[in-house]
Amino acid sequence: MKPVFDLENWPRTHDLVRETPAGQARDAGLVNDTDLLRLKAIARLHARGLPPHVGWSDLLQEAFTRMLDGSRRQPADIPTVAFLAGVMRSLKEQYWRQSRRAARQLPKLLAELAPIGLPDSELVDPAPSAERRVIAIEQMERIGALFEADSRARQVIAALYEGQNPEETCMRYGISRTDYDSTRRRIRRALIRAGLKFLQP
Amino acid sequence: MRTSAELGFERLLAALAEDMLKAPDEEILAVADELGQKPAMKGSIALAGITFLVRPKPRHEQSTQKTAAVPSEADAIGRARRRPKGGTPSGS
Repeated sequence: MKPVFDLENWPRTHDLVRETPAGQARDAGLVNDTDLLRLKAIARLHARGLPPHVGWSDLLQEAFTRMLDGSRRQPADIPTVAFLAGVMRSLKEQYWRQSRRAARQLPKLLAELAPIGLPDSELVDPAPSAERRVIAIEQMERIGALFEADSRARQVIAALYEGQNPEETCMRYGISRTDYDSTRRRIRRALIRAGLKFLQP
Repeated sequence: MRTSAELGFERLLAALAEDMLKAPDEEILAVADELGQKPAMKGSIALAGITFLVRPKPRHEQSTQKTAAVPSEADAIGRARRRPKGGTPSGS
């Protein structure tokens, strides 16, 4: 993996930005440091479902920006952290909607650029969400690797992937509800840990 | 019917994000502590990407700065000439 920045040339190649929307929200008392850590872990989780050029920090800062500028209004009954987590999730969906729209425009753009034209089948990806599918498969493997030595956790992850509720999962794998709940907590802790690390596994 | 990879993955992420929202503050802070992070400290690495960012400069700015920062050949020669007699660069 490439280093985040080149220490020998830093700070020549990098800027230190001290003012961020998340920092402003903390200074305004809307969130505290623990909330920010929780949101970092959630942002990293959601960013797993985005292409590598869209970073978790972009997702997080964009969610704060939308809250601060009022373009996303927080309902009175939803806590700030849950609200921001929801905004990040919807920003991710918005990204993929825009990607699909751009994919639909692609044949038209290519036709304009190349008047001679090539058969459509050579130009257009038949599955606009192919990129998303590849990312999903790769990230499932990476999450699975975090629980290489924990077969119970992998079973619960597989059940969540398939949309099974806790009762169905317990019945399928023959586990007690207590065991299921403790496995969910183990998974949660491992992913918080992965989310708070400087470089995410 | 088989679950599509995108749908299954998004289901999983949604469930895990929900779990993270339910995690007690103590658990979050305990994990940060395990990692040796001190979020209460100013400039803590725990808050990198959150309250401060380190961003790559645009390429044109990098090249401008590099040009300014890298000493020219004439500067290097000048420094060598100013070095006292008998001195060696490595000090050996």
